[in-house]
Amino acid sequence: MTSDRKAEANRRNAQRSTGPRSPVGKRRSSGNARRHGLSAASRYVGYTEADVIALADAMAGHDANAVVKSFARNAAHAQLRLGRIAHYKVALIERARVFGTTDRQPDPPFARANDILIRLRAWAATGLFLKPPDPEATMPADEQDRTREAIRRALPRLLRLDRYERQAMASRNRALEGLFEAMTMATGDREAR
Amino acid sequence: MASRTREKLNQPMDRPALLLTEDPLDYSSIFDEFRTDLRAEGAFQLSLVHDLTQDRMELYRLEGAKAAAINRSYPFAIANLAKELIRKDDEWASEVEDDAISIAHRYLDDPTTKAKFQELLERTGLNHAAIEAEAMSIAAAEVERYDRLISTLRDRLRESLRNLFALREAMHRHQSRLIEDDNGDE
Repeated sequence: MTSDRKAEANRRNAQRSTGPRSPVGKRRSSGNARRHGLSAASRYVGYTEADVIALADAMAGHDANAVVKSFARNAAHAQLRLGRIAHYKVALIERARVFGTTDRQPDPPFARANDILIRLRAWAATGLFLKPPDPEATMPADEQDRTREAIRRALPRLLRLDRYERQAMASRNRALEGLFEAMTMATGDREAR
Repeated sequence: MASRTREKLNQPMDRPALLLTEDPLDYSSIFDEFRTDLRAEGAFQLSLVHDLTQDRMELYRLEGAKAAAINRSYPFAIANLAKELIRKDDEWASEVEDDAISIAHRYLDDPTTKAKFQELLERTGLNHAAIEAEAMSIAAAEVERYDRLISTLRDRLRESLRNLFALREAMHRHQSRLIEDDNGDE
């Protein structure tokens, strides 16, 4: 059991733990819970409650019982989430097609530091303290070639999305399996009655 | 609101995820073929057919990019092989690098250079497969990344099909029981 002295020390230390103080630190910590958002609990990124209900109704039917409806709702949500991921992939490739890269461009105050960092990396790799060519300028002119080059440049990010796509797919399949079982059970109940 | 959304979901062209260089007509013709072949009905079955169509389009996209990655490595593969083929016993590979690069650049456009290079290959008992093998080994890391994405898409295609049939079967069973129950009540 914690002694009174230790508890008091903990309380004193907790008073000092007030979190980040500088504006930069506060801004950074404000995004602690934010990542890509694809598997976030907050639902409906890119679709609405009405979309989920409409799709769930189409799966289970209006007269379904609460259990069937609940599974249908989960499956509808996962299905719509999968649809959004396809749009994100296209958006990433289009971004690479336009800018030549999917990396975020630095804000003006950091542009100079970023430039030096890029030159240092190039120097480490090639021995030359030169800035690598502008990503946009090295994109092919032909539209088809440009698209394929954009896909190549977006590959690392597409692979990251791939993981979440697999996760969304597994979650949809689980929900659908649950739905089919619930439908079978509902049918069995009716038979028993 | 819900019925409007359902109408929207039933439409085959509900803003598919396509690149600017991809033709929406290609999407709708693949969608129509799948819908007819699979006799899909209702919003959710159509939504799974949208999935199948989307995956098909993405497969075309990635397979094109994968082929481009291998094609892009051809000049490097030819240059690597040329370095080995044209250098003399006492020469370093770096000494013939410029000539090898020049052969690689001309190989795809100039039939004379191509014929000469193939003759060089045959003299050592090699053939065109040696270029392909070298190109594949250069592009292997990139090709592997495309293959990972392609494998996810194929899984998705298979799962969507499986789910479509399972859903149809479950709904059919469910509806048959309801009809039987209603007949029994009467």
